[in-house]
Amino acid sequence: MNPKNTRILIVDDEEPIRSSLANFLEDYDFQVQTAASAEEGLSLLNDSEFDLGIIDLRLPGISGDMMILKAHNLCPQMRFLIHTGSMNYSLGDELQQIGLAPENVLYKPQPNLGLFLEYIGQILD
Amino acid sequence: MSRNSDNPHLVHRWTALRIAMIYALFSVLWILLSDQIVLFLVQDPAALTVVQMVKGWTFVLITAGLVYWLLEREIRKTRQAARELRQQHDRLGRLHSQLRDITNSMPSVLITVTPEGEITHWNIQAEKRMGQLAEDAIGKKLDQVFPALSPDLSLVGKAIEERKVQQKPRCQYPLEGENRHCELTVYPLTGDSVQGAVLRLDDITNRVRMEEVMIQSEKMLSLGGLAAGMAHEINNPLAGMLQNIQVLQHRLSPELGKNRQVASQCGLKLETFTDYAEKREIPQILERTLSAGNRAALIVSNMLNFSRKSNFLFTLQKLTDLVDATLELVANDYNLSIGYDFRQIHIERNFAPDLPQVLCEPNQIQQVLLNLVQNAASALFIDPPTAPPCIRLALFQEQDQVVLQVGDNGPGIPEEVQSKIFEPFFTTRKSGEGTGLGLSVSYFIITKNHGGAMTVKSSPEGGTLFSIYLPIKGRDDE
Repeated sequence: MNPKNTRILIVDDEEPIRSSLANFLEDYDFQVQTAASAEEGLSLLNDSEFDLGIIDLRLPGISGDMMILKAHNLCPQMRFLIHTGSMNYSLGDELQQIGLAPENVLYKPQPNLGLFLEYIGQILD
Repeated sequence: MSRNSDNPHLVHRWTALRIAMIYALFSVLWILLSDQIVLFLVQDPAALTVVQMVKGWTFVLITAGLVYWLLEREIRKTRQAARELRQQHDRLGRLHSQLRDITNSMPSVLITVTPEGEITHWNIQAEKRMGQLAEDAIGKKLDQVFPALSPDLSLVGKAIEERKVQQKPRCQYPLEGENRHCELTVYPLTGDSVQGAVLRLDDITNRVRMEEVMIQSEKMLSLGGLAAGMAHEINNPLAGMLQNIQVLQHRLSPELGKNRQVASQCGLKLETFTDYAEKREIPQILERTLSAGNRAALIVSNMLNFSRKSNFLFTLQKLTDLVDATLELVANDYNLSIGYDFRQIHIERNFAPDLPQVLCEPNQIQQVLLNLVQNAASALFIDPPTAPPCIRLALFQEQDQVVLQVGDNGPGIPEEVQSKIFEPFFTTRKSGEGTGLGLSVSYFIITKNHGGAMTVKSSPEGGTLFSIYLPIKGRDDE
């Protein structure tokens, strides 16, 4: 995996979370775009392709897991990480069917952003 | 019950005189009339002598018969009366013992007093709870026998005067050497012949404690819900803060290629900048901010434990193993801020053999145990005991529960603290040292997640004992 060729979409309604994660990943040369809602994220998907989505679950409008399902229909090769503030989140059946596993879920607040690099490496390799 | 004089069967006081009078009357009539009749019928003097002799014998026979008949009649009446008296006596005796059994079988302390406060009855419960035998108490003044009741003597007077039940729903008396919550009822005796009042004292300590526990868990439940909701809301801004600090740290690091690249674009020597940053302690400032943020994150994650989770993995566990594993975890624990070294504490294990396995969430039980053991350890070091510091762990079965106890010989917990100890955010430690969440989270884990119970016992003389009751079959879900 070459970060320079890896396109990542971050969807989170909290600006400080969204931007800082983007800053962090950009420092490691990833190509990052951000969206503040699922709707915005889906419209970005219409224009360009992404390798990975890092998606918050509680979003205004369409929820994060619904967005993942829609995004998967649009570009089936895209992979996903869930970044959530719900401590006791458990993956729904539909998400598991499209290949998401409990190890693709990161919880907020994340005291070590390096973990994102690890998870991204695992899921894209 | 009729009086003796009304009883027709009883011997009348003039009965003997009456018998004598009848005898005398008969004899007088006999003497007056018999000689006249004999003289009229018999003239021959020889025959007269014989007839007189026969008459004398006849008199003896007839009067004997008469006296026998009169006496026999009276004696029969007396026998019957005696029999009836005996029956009545038996009935009374039975009634008496029945009454005694009733008052003695009552779970309440039952005392009767005269209007002057003199004790007339003292049941077995009174003997037991107040430590005075009935024979020692009856006849004495109530305030002398049981001084704690002397302020309530006014209720006795009021009950008798107003002929109304008097109540004191919540009061405390020393019963069997222990201060107990009681309910006192005083009611006037309503018989015609006796004046006085009955004092009934009911020990309601268990009910009062149950109410306290219920109020406590209600409070905890609402506080817990609030805390969990708050935690959720705090998580997002906290995540934003923590992530941004981490990015900032990264962007100060000379190792990151991009940093060097941008610095040279700006005509800045990164080493100079790093030197400046270090001299201004910027990395430390960031580190401090991060660690404060991480502490907040830990509090939040503890608070989230208040919301009952559904996806825990409950498995059958040998608690002895779980306890041993936890002790191993803390064995090397060394808390610099309080200054305790776990290795200096003597650990006593008292595990019952053949304990059944318990259905529980091992991580959570371990969390609770860790919390209790660490609390005990810090208590032992904040205020060192005169005896060598010791933590006692016990495991035993009680009906369908396994009880896990953690005791220490530390300074003990004051009563006013005990009542609040399981409340969220209650702490006796200096701010920054404790979050006040450890025990409340433990309490939730045990009571809500495991359907068990958690209690604390401590005396001001020292020593604290936490007991955890875990149902062997796990939480009883509806």
